[in-house]
Amino acid sequence: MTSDIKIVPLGAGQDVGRSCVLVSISGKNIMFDCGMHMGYQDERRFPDFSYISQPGGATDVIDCLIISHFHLDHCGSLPYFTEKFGYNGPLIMTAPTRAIAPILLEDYRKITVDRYGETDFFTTTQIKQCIKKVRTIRVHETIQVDKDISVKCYYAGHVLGAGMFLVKVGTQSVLYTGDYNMTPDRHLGCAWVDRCSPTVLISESTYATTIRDSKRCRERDFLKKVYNVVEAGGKVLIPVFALGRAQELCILIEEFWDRMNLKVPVYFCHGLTEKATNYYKLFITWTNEKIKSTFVNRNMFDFKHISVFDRSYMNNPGPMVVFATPGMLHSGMSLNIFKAWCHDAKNMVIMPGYCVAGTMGHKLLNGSRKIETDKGSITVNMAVEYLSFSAHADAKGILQLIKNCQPKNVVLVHGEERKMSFLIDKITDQFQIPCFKPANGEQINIPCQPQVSATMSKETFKSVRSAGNQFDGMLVQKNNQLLLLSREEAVQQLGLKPHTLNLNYKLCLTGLNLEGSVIMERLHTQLSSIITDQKLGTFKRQHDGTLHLNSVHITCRTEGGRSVVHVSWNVEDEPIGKAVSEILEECGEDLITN
Amino acid sequence: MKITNHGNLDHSCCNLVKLNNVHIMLDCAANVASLTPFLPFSALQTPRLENLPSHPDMPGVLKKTPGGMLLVDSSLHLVPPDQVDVSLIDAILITNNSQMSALPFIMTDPDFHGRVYATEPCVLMGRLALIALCKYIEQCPTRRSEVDMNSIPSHVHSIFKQKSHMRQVYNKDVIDSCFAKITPVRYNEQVDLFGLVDCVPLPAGHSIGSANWVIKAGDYKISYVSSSSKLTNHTLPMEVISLANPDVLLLSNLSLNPMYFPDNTLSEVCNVVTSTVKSGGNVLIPCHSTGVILDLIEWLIQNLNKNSLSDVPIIIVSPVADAALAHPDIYGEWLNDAKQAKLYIPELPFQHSQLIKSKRIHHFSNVADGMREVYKTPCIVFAGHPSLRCGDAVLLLEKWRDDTHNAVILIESEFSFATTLAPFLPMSMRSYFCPIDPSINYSQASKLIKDIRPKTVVTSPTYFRAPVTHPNRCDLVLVSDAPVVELGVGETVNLQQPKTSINVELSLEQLDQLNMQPLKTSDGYQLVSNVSGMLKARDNKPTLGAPNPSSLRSAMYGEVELQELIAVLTSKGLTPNKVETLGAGDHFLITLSDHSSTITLSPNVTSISAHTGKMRHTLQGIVSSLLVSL
Repeated sequence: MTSDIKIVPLGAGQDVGRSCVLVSISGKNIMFDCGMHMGYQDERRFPDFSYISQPGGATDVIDCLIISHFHLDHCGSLPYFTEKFGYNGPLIMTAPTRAIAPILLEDYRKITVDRYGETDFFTTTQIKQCIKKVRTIRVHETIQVDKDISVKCYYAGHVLGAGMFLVKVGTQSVLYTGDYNMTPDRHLGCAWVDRCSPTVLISESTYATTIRDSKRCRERDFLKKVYNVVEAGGKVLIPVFALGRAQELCILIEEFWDRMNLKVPVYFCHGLTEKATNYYKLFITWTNEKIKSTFVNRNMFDFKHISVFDRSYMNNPGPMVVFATPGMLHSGMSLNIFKAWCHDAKNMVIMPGYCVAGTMGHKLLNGSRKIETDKGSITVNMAVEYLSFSAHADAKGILQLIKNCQPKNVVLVHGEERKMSFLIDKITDQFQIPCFKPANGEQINIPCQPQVSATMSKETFKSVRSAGNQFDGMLVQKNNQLLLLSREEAVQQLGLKPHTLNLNYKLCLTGLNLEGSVIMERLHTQLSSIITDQKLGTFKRQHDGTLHLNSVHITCRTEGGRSVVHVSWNVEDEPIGKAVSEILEECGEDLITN
Repeated sequence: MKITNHGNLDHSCCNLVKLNNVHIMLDCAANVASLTPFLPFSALQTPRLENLPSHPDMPGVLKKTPGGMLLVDSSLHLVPPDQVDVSLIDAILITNNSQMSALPFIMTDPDFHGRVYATEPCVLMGRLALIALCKYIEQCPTRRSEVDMNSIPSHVHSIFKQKSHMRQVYNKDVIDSCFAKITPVRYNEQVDLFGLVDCVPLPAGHSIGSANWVIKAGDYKISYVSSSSKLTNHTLPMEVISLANPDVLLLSNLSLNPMYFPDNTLSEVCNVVTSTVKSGGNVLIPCHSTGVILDLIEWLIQNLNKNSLSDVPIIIVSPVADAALAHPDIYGEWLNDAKQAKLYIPELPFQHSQLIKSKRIHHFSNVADGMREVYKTPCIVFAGHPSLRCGDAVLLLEKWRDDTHNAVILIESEFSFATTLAPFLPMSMRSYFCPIDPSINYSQASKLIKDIRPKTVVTSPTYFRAPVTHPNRCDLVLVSDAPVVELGVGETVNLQQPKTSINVELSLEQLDQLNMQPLKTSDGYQLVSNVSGMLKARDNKPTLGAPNPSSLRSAMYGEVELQELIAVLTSKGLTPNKVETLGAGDHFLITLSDHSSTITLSPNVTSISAHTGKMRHTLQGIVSSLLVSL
């Protein structure tokens, strides 16, 4: 009756990047996310889909594919999987993800094809075709994918439209968090989940070992650093992704510039600014309460102090602040600006997000101060700062989420192995539940306790509840249904005839001439001292002199001038009846004489 | 299952459903028609109305129009749902923004401890509609005298028959505090009430966020269908599949003016507007600032452009105009496919924001708020309140009523044409009744019943009679092929709920101990096992805990046949010595060859007496083998 939940990360197993987690639950196979890895340009950038099937066969294997949010490490291989690998089954994401993911995918495609000269990559048309297959889901909506699979979406914070997904098949369920944030930020609310008690919680663990100081402190820190550099005439480069963290930092800078009445130019390098703002306006219901309640009078995303960057501004003299994509300095405009500015110690680069191994951002953050370019190596003199602004839950947040949703098992993905081990200790310590950290391609089996339920009539339920909750009855399998019946119901519904089986024993007292009442009194004393098993109970003497215990009756009658002790009992009380009759049979009259 | 109708009109709904001991209020509407017997007022003076002659019955309170209608000069009052025991309510489910007007009355009651559920857009739009009404009332320059509603004779208007319940309209603070407590939900979101009842809102197609609710207790299903629409408008179309096969279909808010087809009236509005502005007249359309107006504007613009009238200003006057016009654009996920597709371009789903930017449409919080700058004759003005008892619509109507070129078009169907206009009559201005009611009409509702196949339909008895105005129109009657239970205003119906059963989860320990045995029963062989244990419940999800061996009892079932018993005894070498028939012939006494062991048989009792424990045990085994022990 047991069936395991099997989990295999094809990506994001003890790693950050190319998130793709396969879950097999009650015979249904669900794929969560279909990402790419920013640290690789070879085939390792995509999950190893050959694990699932031959190309063209994935639709038969995968019953549902869910994309948690629009970041490329969660959706970057989606057009490849649907259009080139041939998956054609259900594909679920939120409306903002559906709107924004194709833009990032197109960006990614352009860089890969134009810059790296890749020829066998998915095309613009394929991105469009892929997105056409999407079925959108609203926050808290439950979608019935087929007759067995239901999917519910929860708000995850992190980026606009990020969702956490609860997939239920039968009595088992898996909650996949994608990336989430347990503290609200300038433009998004925090992740929320009810006590859904999933069989397995699959959580990201990017910041598994970090407990971050308060948001306010980090914001103040960030603004102080930016301010100090521009005051000293330096330039600040902030590599970001076009949508998400960028908007939050823009709001922050915008407010600060307003308050301090600063005139230093602030630029956003990507042509997406306006389009991005439009998306944020259309999906304002996905932002936080403050933005929702004020948008009629003032759209937070219409920035006064921030204008569009042009390549030619790069070598302008004087201070400036530039938001440039992509966020990990691995290619594109942010990398170009970095190369142009990095020699000058007056300048600063602020990395506001996580950087994947293999990217320039990652190298810098690990202390590397020499970079290789096509024109030889350059020494980095500019200040390099890291500020954790990327909206992932920290250790405290992850533990909070576990507390909220009360899972029976936890699986960590999307993090570094060493850090996961630390968090696993904390989780097992605090919640005493099994916790796993599978590597890519490693299958883990989570044994599931079978859940069997039976129906009980309202009447029986009520009478059991009013009689101290003790149920005594029968379980009947009828037409593939399990019924819990009280004894009365069973007799009625199954056409049973109760039958009483009585057993009798008698002992003739030949050598004794005693009054019946005396015999019974002595017998009572003897039995009470011999039968000491508490479970059997004790005999009570009635007014008429007889002894009773449950259905066991002992009487003394005179038959043919002799006293005869009668013991009779119902078969249900066989242990007592047997004990009494054995004592009488063994000891005979001696029992009473002594 | 019990349903009580606490509403006071067919279209101001408030039903209280008791299901599995959970009390759920479905909609919470006050009767807005109760505004009509009051004297109209507005932010500025309207001397004609104020100088209407007093009625001798109650001078200073009752005024009489030239047409003979009596109007009460007092602050506005609403009639909330009737006779509700607020303390009973566990939850209130809302279908759309026009059904929330009594929420402030119920929610501010200190005895109310329930939760209110409405879709996210519905909470917002409902709040805007109520705030608009309060703002109109606040704008009134002279605070009106407080008149005791009990003193108004009931011949003035039928609502004064229930005057003891009439309540003065709440203020903005009350609305804000109440609406902040509503739990916003999305379509297909399961709302769990104590683990006993499950409620899910589904698209109703009427307006943004309008919902029908499926309410389930175990297998028992109620589909609550109210203010649903089959029209093609801006919202997600009505979902029917999930409503199907309910035990009860509770049907309310069918079209109030079924003789008008909304598609026709919509084009009639366009025609009247076109011809009026062509002749140099102004058009006044008293209406709410949410709902139908969104579709109407898009139609009207198209129509005016076609007629080369694109320079005629369109003006929307409402204290909540800015929010009412801005919000539909952020609810893209709640709109029809065509509008939803715009999200991905990205483009705003509605045209009006662009038209506001290009100054084709203007909006003002009231007529004094800069409207002068864009106002020119002819123009088209949408203004509230549609009851024509307060707000800028009253002011504009007073101003324009003497010019025969002007036109007023009433489009909101919950207000009757004659009564609404009566205080302004006689007038030269032309008036039109073009109710645009997206709600399903009788034939659509009849088809809906056919499609979703309910076991029982619970609905208003008035739907089965043709309207008083059209007694012979049998197409204006609801037809149901399912059994109908009529539920009139103030009535209660009790419906037999089939025996519901409760799902009990079996604990692992219990499963380990199960010993399923085949048992011959009246229905053939079935697998049966003895079960005992403690019932535990968490979140109303009961579990049968580990079995307690000491409490595990078994009993014998079946019948012992005499011949069978003798045969078995004989086969074991215990051939009976003597068999006597006792009593009526179905009792037997079997004496065994040892002369002291006996078996007494009767249809439901067998009694064994034996000389030795060993013998008794043997006989017990033999008899038991002929019975079933469970």
